[in-house]
Amino acid sequence: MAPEQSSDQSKLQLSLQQKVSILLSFAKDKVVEQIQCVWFIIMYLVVFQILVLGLPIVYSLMIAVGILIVIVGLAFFMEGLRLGLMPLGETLGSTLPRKKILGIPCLPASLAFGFVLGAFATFAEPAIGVLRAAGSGVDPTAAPLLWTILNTGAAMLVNCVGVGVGIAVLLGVLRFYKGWSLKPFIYAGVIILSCITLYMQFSDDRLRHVLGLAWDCGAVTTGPVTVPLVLALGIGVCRIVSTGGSSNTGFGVVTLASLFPILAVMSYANYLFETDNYYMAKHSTEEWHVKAGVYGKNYPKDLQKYGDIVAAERLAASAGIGETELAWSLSSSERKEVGDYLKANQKLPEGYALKTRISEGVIVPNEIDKNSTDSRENVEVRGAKTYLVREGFKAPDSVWNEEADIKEAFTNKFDFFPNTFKPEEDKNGNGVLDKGEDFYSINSEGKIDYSKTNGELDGPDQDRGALEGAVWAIVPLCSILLLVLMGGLRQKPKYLDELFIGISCAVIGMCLFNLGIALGLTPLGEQLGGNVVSSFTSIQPWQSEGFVDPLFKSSTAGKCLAILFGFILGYGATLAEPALNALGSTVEKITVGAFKKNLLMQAVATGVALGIATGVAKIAFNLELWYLLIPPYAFLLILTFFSSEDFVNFGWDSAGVTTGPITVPLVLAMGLGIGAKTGAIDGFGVLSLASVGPIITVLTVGLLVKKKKPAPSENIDNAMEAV
Amino acid sequence: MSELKISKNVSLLTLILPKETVGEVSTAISKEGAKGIIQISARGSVLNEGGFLQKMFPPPAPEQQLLQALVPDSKIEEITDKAIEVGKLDKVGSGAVFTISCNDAHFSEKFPANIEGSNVTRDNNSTDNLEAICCICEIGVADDIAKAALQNGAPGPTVTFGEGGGVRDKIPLLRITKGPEKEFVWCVVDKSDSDAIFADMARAGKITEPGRGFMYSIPVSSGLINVSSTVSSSAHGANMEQIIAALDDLKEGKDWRTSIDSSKGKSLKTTYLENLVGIYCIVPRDNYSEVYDAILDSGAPGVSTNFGVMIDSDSDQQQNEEWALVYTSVGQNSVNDLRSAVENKISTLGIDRFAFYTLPIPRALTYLGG
Repeated sequence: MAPEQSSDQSKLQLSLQQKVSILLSFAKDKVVEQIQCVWFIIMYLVVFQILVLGLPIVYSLMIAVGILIVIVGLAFFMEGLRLGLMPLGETLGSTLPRKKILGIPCLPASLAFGFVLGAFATFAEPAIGVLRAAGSGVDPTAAPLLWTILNTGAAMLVNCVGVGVGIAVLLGVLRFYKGWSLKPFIYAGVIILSCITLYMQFSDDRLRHVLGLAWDCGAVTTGPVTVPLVLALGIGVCRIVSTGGSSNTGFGVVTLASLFPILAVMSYANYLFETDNYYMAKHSTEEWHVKAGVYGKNYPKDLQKYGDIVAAERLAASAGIGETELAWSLSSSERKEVGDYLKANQKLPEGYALKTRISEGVIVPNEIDKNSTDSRENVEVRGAKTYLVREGFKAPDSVWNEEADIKEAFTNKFDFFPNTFKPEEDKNGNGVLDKGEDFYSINSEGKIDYSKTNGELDGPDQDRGALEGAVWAIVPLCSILLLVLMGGLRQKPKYLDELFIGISCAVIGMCLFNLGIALGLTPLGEQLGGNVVSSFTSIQPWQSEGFVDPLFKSSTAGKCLAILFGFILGYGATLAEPALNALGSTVEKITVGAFKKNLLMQAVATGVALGIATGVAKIAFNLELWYLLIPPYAFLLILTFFSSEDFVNFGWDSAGVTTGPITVPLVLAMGLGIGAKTGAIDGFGVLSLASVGPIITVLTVGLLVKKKKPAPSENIDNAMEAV
Repeated sequence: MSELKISKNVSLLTLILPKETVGEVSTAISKEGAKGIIQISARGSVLNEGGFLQKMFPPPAPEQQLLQALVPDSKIEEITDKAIEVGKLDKVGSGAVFTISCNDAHFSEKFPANIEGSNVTRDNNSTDNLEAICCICEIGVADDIAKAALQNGAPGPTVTFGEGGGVRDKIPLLRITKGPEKEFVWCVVDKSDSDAIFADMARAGKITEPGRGFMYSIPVSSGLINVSSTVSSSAHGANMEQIIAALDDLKEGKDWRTSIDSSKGKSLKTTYLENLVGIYCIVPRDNYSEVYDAILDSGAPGVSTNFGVMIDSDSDQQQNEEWALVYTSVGQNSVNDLRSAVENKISTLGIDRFAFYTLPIPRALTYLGG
């Protein structure tokens, strides 16, 4: 009797214990998978802070808890993508081209759907918060147009980006139907964007300041929910419509979704500029302002007044106590203690030192021997002041930030309805609404009320809590997809229960992930980003008292260390990005495993590392953005021309997914920290450079591996001769 | 329910081709009379010499396509010859073609295949001494299995993606812990090598452990295998396959290959499932999940599915028509019961285009419980 496989008819009965053990081993696998993604960046940050910079980690327990939450959240979220979002997108994509929605033929219906999806995704995952953080240091007097766009024009900015992404998805879907190559879109897009960039660079300084924002918009618009959904949708559509010779496999939409928002923001900036509808910096004494003449005549009066208040606040803040004064100060009890010790012992107590600051720089020689003309001299410096300072710094002992309110971080008071108009309530740019910072609110008629001097913000704000953000990013999009799929197309997904588990997992995961980032990654990134500046200048460490001296005497060497730091940071953070992981898996799936996820991820991570290093160099040495953007893009045009269609699609798409929720807080904190020390107007540009880098590396890798492929049609006879 | 056309003189033609030549070959064979050609995306396998860089940047495996079509025995030779001619399949590294005689095949009226119903039994003309091995495994394991096959001298294992299940689908919601995605490793080997290769692939994939997969072999009636399987530096004048082929020519046979490491014990201490019959059901992809469930409900222990595109479908729009190849294997006695159960299910669902075919499976391997 031959052995037989068991074939039970009934559903398998499992005991509770078995169920738990299955779930546990499953959960363990998933968490281990995420740890493999995240450990490098975390270890690196911690080691760098402690060993290289020699600083302790402030709020260490809170950061550790936050990172644990991030890992669990990522595990949930990736499962949600696998079970819920991606199957949903793919099923919808593969059904759209075959059935009519409410009697509309498939092509127009798909295009309309693509536009709605793209625009909606932007509103669901607004990257505007990120951009505002990067622009929090923008001075309305120095860059009025940029300030206007980021503040009073923020609502329009989001709309522009939304329309841009919508058109991009629409064109992407149309491209699939028609079987067009991605290359012409890239050529046209890059050439047009380069021309506008050069125009804005050289026509007017006010326009020039907007360039960084515009290019960064392209990099940040596509978030960890949008990318997998759009990819899955594209793949579904291509499964059906890409026939015969067409090599479209569903990629390329993300590329377009990165190029169009740049164009949209540039157009918006030019529109405002041409219509004189932006803040008039009345009190600027800059050269460009003197030349510019009168402008801003169409800018609403009350917004103009608001800008004046911000400008005045900023002026007052800059005239206040400098950071060095604070760092070199002693408390009154310390003064007393040191004074007593000095009187008794004629020397400084342990832990205190003398610091000298020279203001005039004129030397006063004091010859030792008055009679000799070539006597040695004691030389004093006129205007030199000596201060008594405490050596080193005092970091707070607490391992948990008492001000961090988990409940509020979670829900942000369930303020579910976002308002894209977010007034500049955060004057000191610390990302938190401190007491007294809010000096106006929006009243019930929707008008701005300046009568308040302090208190809490009344108008709806745009800072979403962790849960809110997750629900907003996932639920509306998925509802639309499900509605179209089941209502419009009358197609029932295979496993509806799995789909719902998946979507719930995605929401839970995203929520934990957001919370973990707020608790763990942001404080870690902020303190490291701020502290890394200590490699080339004297700073007060994050959340500490006192100061540290620069690590290197030469400022260039210190800046080079900061650039190296940025390089490895970019590499590690990119490997942990969920959207990139999703892209990697998708590429692997589409090519039936021929392109390993690892190949793409490593190539992209290296590219982001190069890009971020360049970005740090840009801020550290105050380079012009266009020097760093136009040549790489020109080089990319050549690379694109020679690359195969597959790699062009993967490579350009990977540019859009690199700058996600892990990379951005880390990179931004560093960019702002360095920028503040080197006098950069804003922290923009790093992100756009971080998205050029991976395209270059992926295309290069593509050209390299292509060479290695064996030629299939060589004859045996040739081989015989060779032997 | 309309009567199915039944034919016993049908062979399954399978072609493994690099992406570049698929178009030409498929038009050529459909001109010769093959109909209902299903194209499945696949990847070749390559052996990489380890190294850190290779791990960081694994080179892409060659992209391939698997073409399958049911062809009447009367035409199989012309079609095979045409495919070899157009695809230059006699050249090294250009692909593979092989045919497998089906036990029988059943077609619905509307299934696109120009096969006349007939009941003439034919003699088994398996002459080429080849055997196809197929291994269904969890996603990610295929590379190890393909490597084991390559190291034992199997030419170019080909990997496709698909779905599969069995036990999984009997667990209610906990099934999410085990994805349906599976990898399928196909390779065609000399019968003399096949025991060793089969055993080593099974060992590499730990097929005999629970939940690891299923593997089986099918006798191949004729075939020509020239799949490329190594990445060679362009600096060499000839690649490894060319050299091996040249040596084959000089030594007048492939025996020299086996002599190298014959000392190793290759036998696998396990029980094979023997004399099973593989039932394949071809249905449009939209309906596959019903068929999949029907097969499981009819008592099959496991099901797996490959998805492909029918490239010569006569759909009016410029669209691909997706089909699913649902497969299971059962003991000889239950074949007819299973088939009629599934047929009933299909006809109640109103699916009018489908086909069944059965292949002999002399041996198979999986976890047997206990």
